[in-house]
Amino acid sequence: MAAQIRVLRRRIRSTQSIKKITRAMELIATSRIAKARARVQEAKPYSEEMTRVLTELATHAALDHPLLVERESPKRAAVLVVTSDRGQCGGYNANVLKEAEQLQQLLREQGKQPVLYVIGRKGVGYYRFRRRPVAASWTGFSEQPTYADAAEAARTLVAAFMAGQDDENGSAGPDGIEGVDELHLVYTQFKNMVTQTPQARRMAPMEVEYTETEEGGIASETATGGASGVTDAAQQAGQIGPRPLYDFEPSADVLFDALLPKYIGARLFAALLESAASESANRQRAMKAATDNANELIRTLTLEANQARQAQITQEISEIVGGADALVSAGSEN
Amino acid sequence: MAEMTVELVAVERRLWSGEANFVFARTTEGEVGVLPGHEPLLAQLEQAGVVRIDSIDGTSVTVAVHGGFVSITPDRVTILAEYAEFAHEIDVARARAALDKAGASEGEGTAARARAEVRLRAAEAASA
Repeated sequence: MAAQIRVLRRRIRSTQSIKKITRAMELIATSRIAKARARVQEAKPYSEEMTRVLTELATHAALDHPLLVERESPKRAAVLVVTSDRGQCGGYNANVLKEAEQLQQLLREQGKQPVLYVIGRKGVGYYRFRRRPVAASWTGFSEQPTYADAAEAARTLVAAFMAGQDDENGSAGPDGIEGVDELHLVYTQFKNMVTQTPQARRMAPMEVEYTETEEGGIASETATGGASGVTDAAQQAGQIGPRPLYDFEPSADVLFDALLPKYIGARLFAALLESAASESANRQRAMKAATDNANELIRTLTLEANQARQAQITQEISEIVGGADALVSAGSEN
Repeated sequence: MAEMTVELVAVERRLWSGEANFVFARTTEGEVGVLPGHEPLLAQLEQAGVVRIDSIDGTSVTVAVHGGFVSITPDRVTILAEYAEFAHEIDVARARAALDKAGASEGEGTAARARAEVRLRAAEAASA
């Protein structure tokens, strides 16, 4: 009996310390959501101005940049999966990875071989456990990404994409590097505090974005949203009246070459920021649930411990009374 | 019209925005000084360069800009930068240390050297 109380008290204590941890993580996550959302806002002016500049360029430069042109018979498609570095964030990683699996399935059905690029330790672990090859991975910044992190990943992806230009059926082509023909991105979109949905997007060639159809599958349709500022811009340019005639330094085509990879970098950075906000939101929710569960557990355990304590006292009393009775009856016999 | 709207935006934040009457920058093709009413121009800035904005209230800001573009219309100048720092926020001692460290190495070091150099130049320009 005494052992049972001790065990219960120990469980209460350990639950209390777990609760302290989950509570702290919940508070940290809450403050990080706000920060991440502020950063999403701060990154907006750049992408807006970038889109504006590309609008101007798109009307002047020839739209035959490799990043814009659909390849004939694409064979390999890069899939960049954005996951978190730490767990304790509910279904966040599972959802992203599930979306990535669906996208890969779709690509395979279209006869393209998916090539995996991974951001975040959880994703790396997931694919390593399944012994699936990963072309490149970046870790250590999922909660607070900087532009340098995004730029590095974007550089690798754009390089792979450019190297894919001259690939011939299954072989690396003249440059000796086996590149990719498409770039896809799977990240978590931060809609609001309660809704974050995994999204699959095509980054290059910039024309098509994936949208979730009502049946829940992934369907591709031509972009009208922000997926491709360039093609939108070209259309807008046709509608809006006279524009100022720009001079270009260096030529429009050279500028275009320099700007497009930066545009991809900026978009990837925006995706990383949204993913970071989503991760924190998921963690906050998971940790809130854990804290609530800990409270509930502490309540029931305390109840049990008190019952055990009372039972023990009752037993002790009845033992004493029983012992006294025995003594009294023994004395009366004498 | 003697003023124009100037926006200096880096990827991670908007650094400066307001009315100005002069902007100085260095593109890959050469230096440009922009007064209100400039011809429309889109240019790539030097990999690492110094940009000076003279605001209408008489103050002037000097900024170290890395990997930037500038878009100019008669009444508006937009500077897009991968990274940008105000000259007065630059830690000169640290930039100098970075320069010394980068000086010896090749490859990676060249970019780091350029970054450190432009920081120092911006800091000098601001204090001069």
